[in-house]
Amino acid sequence: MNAQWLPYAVVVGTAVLAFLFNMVASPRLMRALNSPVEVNAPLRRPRIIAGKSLVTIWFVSAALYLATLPQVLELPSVDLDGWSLPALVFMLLISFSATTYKRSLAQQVEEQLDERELAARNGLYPLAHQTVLTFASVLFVIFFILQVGQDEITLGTINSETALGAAFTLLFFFWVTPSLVHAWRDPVPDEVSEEMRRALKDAKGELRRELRGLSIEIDAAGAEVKHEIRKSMGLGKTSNKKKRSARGLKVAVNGRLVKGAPTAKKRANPVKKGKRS
Amino acid sequence: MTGRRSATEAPLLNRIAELRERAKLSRLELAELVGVNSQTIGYLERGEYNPSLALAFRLSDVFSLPVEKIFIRTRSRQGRRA
Repeated sequence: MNAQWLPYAVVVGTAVLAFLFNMVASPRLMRALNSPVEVNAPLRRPRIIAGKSLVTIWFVSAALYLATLPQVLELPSVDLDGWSLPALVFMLLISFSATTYKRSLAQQVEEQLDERELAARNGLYPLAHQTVLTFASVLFVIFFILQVGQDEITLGTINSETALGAAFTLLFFFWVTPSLVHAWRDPVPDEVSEEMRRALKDAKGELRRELRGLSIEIDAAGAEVKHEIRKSMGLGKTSNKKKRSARGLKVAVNGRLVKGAPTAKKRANPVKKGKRS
Repeated sequence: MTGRRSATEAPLLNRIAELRERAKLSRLELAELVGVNSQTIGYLERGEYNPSLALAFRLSDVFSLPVEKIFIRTRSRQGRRA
């Protein structure tokens, strides 16, 4: 039973995982590998991969749908017909993603576009139609070559359901190709705006300054806590005074500096000059 | 025909980025002033798109400079021969 859905699940799973990997993991991987392409263009490379992989996934989804149509792909002990509907939904979802990618430029009304975008959009259609025609011609030639070896061309034996599915896919291909061409040719979408970049830089600097200030404050607080502990234990100024006095240094007595007399112990063991500080 | 023309076409340089910085305008603000998308300003600044005459004149109005002070045409191969 499992063998029936296994090939389909493997292909769909691979395609989806590849897309997810490109979208999510690729930037991290690039950062980890410290790719030179990543320098000064953190979003460019993953977006390029995203645009191209979107086009690839569309073709994969269309091929999957065509493969699940009756009589197209015959595999021993594998029934693919039942997967036509999920494959069709998958293809429609990818088509929707492709047409909405990059502000749906190919489907946008003229009023929403400026002169550059208008020129870009108008350039997409001839190229898209040319691509579709080339693709269809190549498929036809392949089909023709495959049929040449046989006694008769079996075009009439194609199931009407299969023919309808193929026609539907071709129609969708016509509709979605301008967006696919756009995603392939100009895959870098909205760049990070200059303001955003500047704001990020400022925020980073501010954060660094704040962290530096915070560490100073922590040090000061630590010193204060230490001081309070010493004070509470009765080891405050008197202790320092005693220490200084013991070293023979000047100590403050009633607001006046008085040289402390070294004790007998200190005289026997004089403190080294270097240790004063 | 287009290929032949582009082979000898002189690259068009511009000072939009510099003038915009000097005028303390963001890309978005400049885009609103000249009536295009902010991405188009990016394309113009990087020299990836040459504007129409109308847009060039709108830019010259914003910067209060003649068009030839904003866009600089380097000499083409043909020009050099001449």
